[in-house]
Amino acid sequence: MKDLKAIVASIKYVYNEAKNYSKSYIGKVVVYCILSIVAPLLLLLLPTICVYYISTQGDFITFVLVLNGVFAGYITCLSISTYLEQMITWDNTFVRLKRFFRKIYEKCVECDYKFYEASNAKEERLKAEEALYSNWRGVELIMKTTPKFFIDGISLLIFVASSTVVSYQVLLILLGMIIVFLIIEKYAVPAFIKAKANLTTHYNKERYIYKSSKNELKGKDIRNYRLANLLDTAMNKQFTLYAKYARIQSVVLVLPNLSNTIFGFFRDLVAYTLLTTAVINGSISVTEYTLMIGIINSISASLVKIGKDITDLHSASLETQDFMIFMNEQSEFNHGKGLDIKTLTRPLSIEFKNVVYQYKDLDKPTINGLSFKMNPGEKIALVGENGAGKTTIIKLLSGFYKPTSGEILINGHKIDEFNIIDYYSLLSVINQDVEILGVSIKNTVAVTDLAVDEVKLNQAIKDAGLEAKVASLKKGTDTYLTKNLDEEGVLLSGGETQKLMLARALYKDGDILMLDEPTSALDPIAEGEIYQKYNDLTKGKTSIFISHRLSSTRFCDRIFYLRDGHIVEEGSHEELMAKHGEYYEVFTIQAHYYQNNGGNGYESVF
Amino acid sequence: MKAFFKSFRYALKIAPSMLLGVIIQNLASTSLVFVTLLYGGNLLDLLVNHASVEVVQHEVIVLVSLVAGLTLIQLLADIVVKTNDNTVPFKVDQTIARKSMEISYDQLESQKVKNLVQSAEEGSNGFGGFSDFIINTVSALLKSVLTVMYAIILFGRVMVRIESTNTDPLFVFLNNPYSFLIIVALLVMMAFLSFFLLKYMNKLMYAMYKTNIKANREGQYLGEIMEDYRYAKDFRIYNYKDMLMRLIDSRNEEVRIGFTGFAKGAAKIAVIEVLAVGLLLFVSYLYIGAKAYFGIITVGSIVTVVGAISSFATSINEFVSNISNVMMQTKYLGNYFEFLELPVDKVETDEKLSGDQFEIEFKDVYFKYPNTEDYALKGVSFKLTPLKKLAIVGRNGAGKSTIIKLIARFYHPDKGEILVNGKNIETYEFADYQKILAILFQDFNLFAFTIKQNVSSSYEGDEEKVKECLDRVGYDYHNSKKLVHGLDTYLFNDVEDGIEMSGGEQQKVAIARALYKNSSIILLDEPTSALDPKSELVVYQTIEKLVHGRTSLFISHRMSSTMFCDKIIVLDKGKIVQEGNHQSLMQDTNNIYASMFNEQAKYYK
Repeated sequence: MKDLKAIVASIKYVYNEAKNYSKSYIGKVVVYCILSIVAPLLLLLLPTICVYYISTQGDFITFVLVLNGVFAGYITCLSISTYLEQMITWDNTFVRLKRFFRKIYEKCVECDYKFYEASNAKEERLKAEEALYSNWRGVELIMKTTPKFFIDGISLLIFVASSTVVSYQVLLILLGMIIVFLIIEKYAVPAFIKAKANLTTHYNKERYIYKSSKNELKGKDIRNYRLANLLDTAMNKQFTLYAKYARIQSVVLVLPNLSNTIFGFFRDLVAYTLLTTAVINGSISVTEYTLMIGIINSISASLVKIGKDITDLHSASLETQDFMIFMNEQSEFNHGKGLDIKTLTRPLSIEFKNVVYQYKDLDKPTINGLSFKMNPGEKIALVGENGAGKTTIIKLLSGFYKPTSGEILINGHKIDEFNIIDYYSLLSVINQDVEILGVSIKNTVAVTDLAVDEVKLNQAIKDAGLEAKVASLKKGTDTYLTKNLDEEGVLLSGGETQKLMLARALYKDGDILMLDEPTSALDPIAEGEIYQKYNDLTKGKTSIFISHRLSSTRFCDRIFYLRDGHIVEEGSHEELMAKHGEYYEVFTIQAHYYQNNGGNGYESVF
Repeated sequence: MKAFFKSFRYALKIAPSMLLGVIIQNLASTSLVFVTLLYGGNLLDLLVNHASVEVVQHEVIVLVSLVAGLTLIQLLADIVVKTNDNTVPFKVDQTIARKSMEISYDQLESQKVKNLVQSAEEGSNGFGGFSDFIINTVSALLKSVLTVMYAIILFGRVMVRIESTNTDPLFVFLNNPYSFLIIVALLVMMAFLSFFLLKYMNKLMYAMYKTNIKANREGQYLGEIMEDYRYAKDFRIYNYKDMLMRLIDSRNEEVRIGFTGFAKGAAKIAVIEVLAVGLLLFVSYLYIGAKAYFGIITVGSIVTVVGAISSFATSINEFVSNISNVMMQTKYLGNYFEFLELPVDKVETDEKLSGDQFEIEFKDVYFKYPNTEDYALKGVSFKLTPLKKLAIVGRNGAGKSTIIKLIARFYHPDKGEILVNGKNIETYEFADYQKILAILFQDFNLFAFTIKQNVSSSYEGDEEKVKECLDRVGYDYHNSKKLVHGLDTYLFNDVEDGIEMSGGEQQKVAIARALYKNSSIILLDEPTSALDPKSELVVYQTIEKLVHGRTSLFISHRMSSTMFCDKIIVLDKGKIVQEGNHQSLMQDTNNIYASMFNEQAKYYK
């Protein structure tokens, strides 16, 4: 029963989308169904008409005319329904590609960040996509099968209604066939889905290995460390498992048909025996015999088709349900009305109050009762060893994670009091790992493909130190980055890329600035240039720097030294150096390379 | 034609059971159709001729058993075919993967080979790939041949004449066996029509494919980006959503327009086919029906023969379509073979590198990357002396990483030579040469396998040796709570549920991998860039231990990491501008080395 409700819900969901895509879609499907029911009925009549006229030696001209009429009807119905079928098939592919994939992409970009990190959240997303993988699965399968189900169902009803002459024995066998089929199907479909899911899992793993093998970034390590063997062996392991599930899936698919074949044997035996006997002892005519054999065959064929339709709808709806679950995932954050950010006094103040955050798969909180205050316009450096919690703090402040407990306050207001999109607009972030999107420089800096403020754009580019580079490009700011969307796209060097990120942050002019190891790939001179600019960038903003290069902390008003999710030392550079604590230790390590023009070597510092 | 046989032989090699399965499937399904027609018709005749119960019953049993039996056989063959349908693309992927790892690095990077790989992928999986190729080929040959055979047998029943005194011209015409040629003529016309329609269809498809290829590729690119977790943060903070949706929508719209045009064309073709078949069916029923009406043939034959004509027509269509598909697939598969047969620069030699220590020398090397104007290296000469530590420093873009790639033989010098122990490095086999080098690339990659597998670079590694390497590099695996399965814990999530490692942890593991390899020469490009100060110090302090007994080359743009080296080379815009050790270089205050050093040092004053 639950399955039935799910199937109906899935069908409604899918057709709703189809209707949104094209208003005439439903109409086309209805006409197609009607014609597809009528055409085979007409075709069925043909042998019967022949046998009737011949065995009764009816008028030849009438015979030809009747034949003509039936054929004309048949061909007309079939032609129109064929045309519609083709158009509907392409429409189906479109709805899947245009509307459904689009929904997933949109959801990916706007859903909570945690869907990318927690391993089971990623599973949910991958499962949702399975409903869209091909035109024989999920949503498109529903679109293909629902009309078929109605056609086969109504055809069956018509046959059954006109087959009162069919003996009860045959009907009993048919009934048995349906019942056994439904029972098998109840277990076969979930088994099939599971096998399919396993197939997809191993396929995805194979895809990773496959893509790695031809990836040019990984190609260097593959060649120097002779990793071809390792990758090949790993791929073989996946193949073994994949082949196993492929076999299981094939068997499960064929099982219901097996049952049908066995029942079919008995059904045909009984039907033919009864009918031939009836003809021999004169109860029915040869014409009636022909008709009834035709009807029985049609009923059986319909049942088999309906059986397959039910199986397909069942499995497609399971996949569609996964899709719906993912699409219905609620955000943890406030997507509704929030405080008007325009009313906030700038620069902003930031406060963490007893913030606790625990990652789902870890057994201990990473941040456990962290409290600190950042004054308006202050520059804070966040330092500490790897794993101390620096990145977690950034993600919490970015509005990617919600604290397990405690509060994060902006000018005294909780992040939740703002609409999350409004909140994001307060932030300018520059990260260590830069992923370049293949759009133009202008699109990247202004983050839009629509009209931009050219003055502001050029200013941002100038301030980031990219003026010369942009001037050297033929298309200027309209030059595309990478060749993914434009053959004439360019690749920027590491330093130029960082400057581009800076330009974007400048253009956005966010009030909270977060810089996470932005210069680690730059040489000292380029780094120095950028640091100058960061200094300008932070004027009037409240900012956080993360860097291992403690050289960056000199720009900051205060430094937080983090260990195990706690701030263990806090103060200005001079204050912390005077303390002779952990910061002092780490700073001295870095400094000693440069003392005495580097004459100290690597002796122990302490 | 030759290409076809090549594809067929190859398909046999990778999917032998599929071939068998498809053959059986086709034999069974074709026979099924004709058994039903033949025996169904016979049964009708027996009834009309008032045969006895026993004879009729016998015919029934034969019919029903044959149908059930053939269906069963078909189902079993189905299992085999379906399984192969799934596994064959997987196997094909493996061949492409193997080849990709075999070709040289500069081939891998070249645009030409990248395009070839893409065509190979499309070739082997496009249009149904190898499995469809097999299915279509067998279908075309077997099914069609069998159908024609069966049909001809059945037609024998139609081309008969009876003795009669009827002079009705219609009767005389129908009684002439050769009047059947009308039907034959129609069948022949249908075959031609089928052929032309298919050609037109392929043309439409190709046109759509061509116009859509760019939009499809871009749409796919955008979709992948939107699902990629690495972009997720930026997309939210900088509100990329609207722009991305518009970009995707425009690609979708382009594709939709192309598709709709194609769909209308395809629909018209389908309708024409329906009309053609309909006409054939109509004429057949009329002709056969009339013949039966006049008693020239039996009533039962109607069903049999019309069915046979129908099957024959269908199989003509299928035959034409199959042949066309096979031709298309052979063409696509050609791209796949072109990639597999790409010549790999193999050095034919028995010479092996021998000895414990190796000296690498650059002799006046000039090099520029493919498709660039400027030289990345201009007349670079230096020696990497055994057991010594050499540093190469310079600004970004100076050419430091290029030197590493040339030493690794990923590229070849345009002018000049690179020697190992006096002989050109290209003299030796690539695999043999790689043994003497362990490289930590600036943009190194770890893989989604276990830590042990990553460090040992093999499927089964030496656990003790792995532990030793991790200890030397300071990666604390004993206490790490993350390592649920110890060294058998997977990295990342792509293959098994694994852990995420910070940049610093990854760097340590990568250094350990280089150590495990135990090569005489170790090249390290920015080895501590992601490490925190304490970890970095540990690495420097243990550098002696790390590279003990080996020859090492360090690349960095941070002075702190090169001061311990025996010799430092300063590279600027592809040329060596300074050489010496730290002290001597610092004395030349006007040059790059000192200015870079001071630029960094000033923060620590």
